[in-house]
Amino acid sequence: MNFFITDSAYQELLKIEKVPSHSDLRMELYKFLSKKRTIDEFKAGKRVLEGPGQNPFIKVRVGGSGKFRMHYLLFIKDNKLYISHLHPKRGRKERENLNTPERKIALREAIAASEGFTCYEVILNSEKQTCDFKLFTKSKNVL
Amino acid sequence: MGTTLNNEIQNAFQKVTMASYAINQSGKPDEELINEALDKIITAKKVLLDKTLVIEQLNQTLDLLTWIETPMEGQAIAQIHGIIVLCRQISKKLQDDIEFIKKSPKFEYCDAAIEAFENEVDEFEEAVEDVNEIFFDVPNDLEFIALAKKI
Repeated sequence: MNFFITDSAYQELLKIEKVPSHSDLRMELYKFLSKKRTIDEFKAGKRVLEGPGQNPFIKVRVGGSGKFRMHYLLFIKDNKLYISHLHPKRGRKERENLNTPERKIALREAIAASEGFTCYEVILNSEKQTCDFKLFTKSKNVL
Repeated sequence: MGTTLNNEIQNAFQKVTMASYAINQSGKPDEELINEALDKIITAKKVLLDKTLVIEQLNQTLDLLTWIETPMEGQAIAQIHGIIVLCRQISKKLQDDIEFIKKSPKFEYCDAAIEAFENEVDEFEEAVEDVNEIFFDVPNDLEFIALAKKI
């Protein structure tokens, strides 16, 4: 499976990881993404925000009861996973649940990314146990 | 040995003797009392952990519920409504619990357990609202329906 992140979600990630309590955000994302191998593993027990059809839009919680707890919105299509929103549930950037208009925007951006609009590919760096990001478009892959 | 030095030694001897007497008089720490306090802390932690586990399972149940196809009709949707009403009652009770726990000295040394409990309650409240949105708001939201058709 390939992983992608929408431009807005990527910009948000950059802001969040600047906060000291979330400086290990990429590492935690790596742990989460590298643990799952199949679509079903991503879908198991997760919450669907739109119809549970073949291409679900889901919310997942990453991190336990300690300092680290993040919510991600993920869209899965054609064996590709698109991260279209993330927010911490603890710490300085903590926020409440997304409202309906915000969810619509996140879903719209995820669909756009799946259709070839600019997004970033999430590359799992197993050597450093972290995530790297590479600008990605459907037509050409830009470094 | 000079008189001053002798006085100093006498003085020190007197103080050490008094301290020794005081320490002996105060006796051993009351083991029974300490054990009782530790038992109370362990019990309080267990109460919190048990409750946290129940809410965790409840959250998993709500997550699974969201995979049911929408829109729904008749008895099925009435049952979902019933589940949401019941969950909101549970949520209110859990908020009362949190308020009580924070005030109660019984839970003074259970910081990590309280945090885990609060986090799970927070997830539960969000899950309830998500279920409500999925079954009652999204099916009537034309913009969402149009987006859903694209995926």
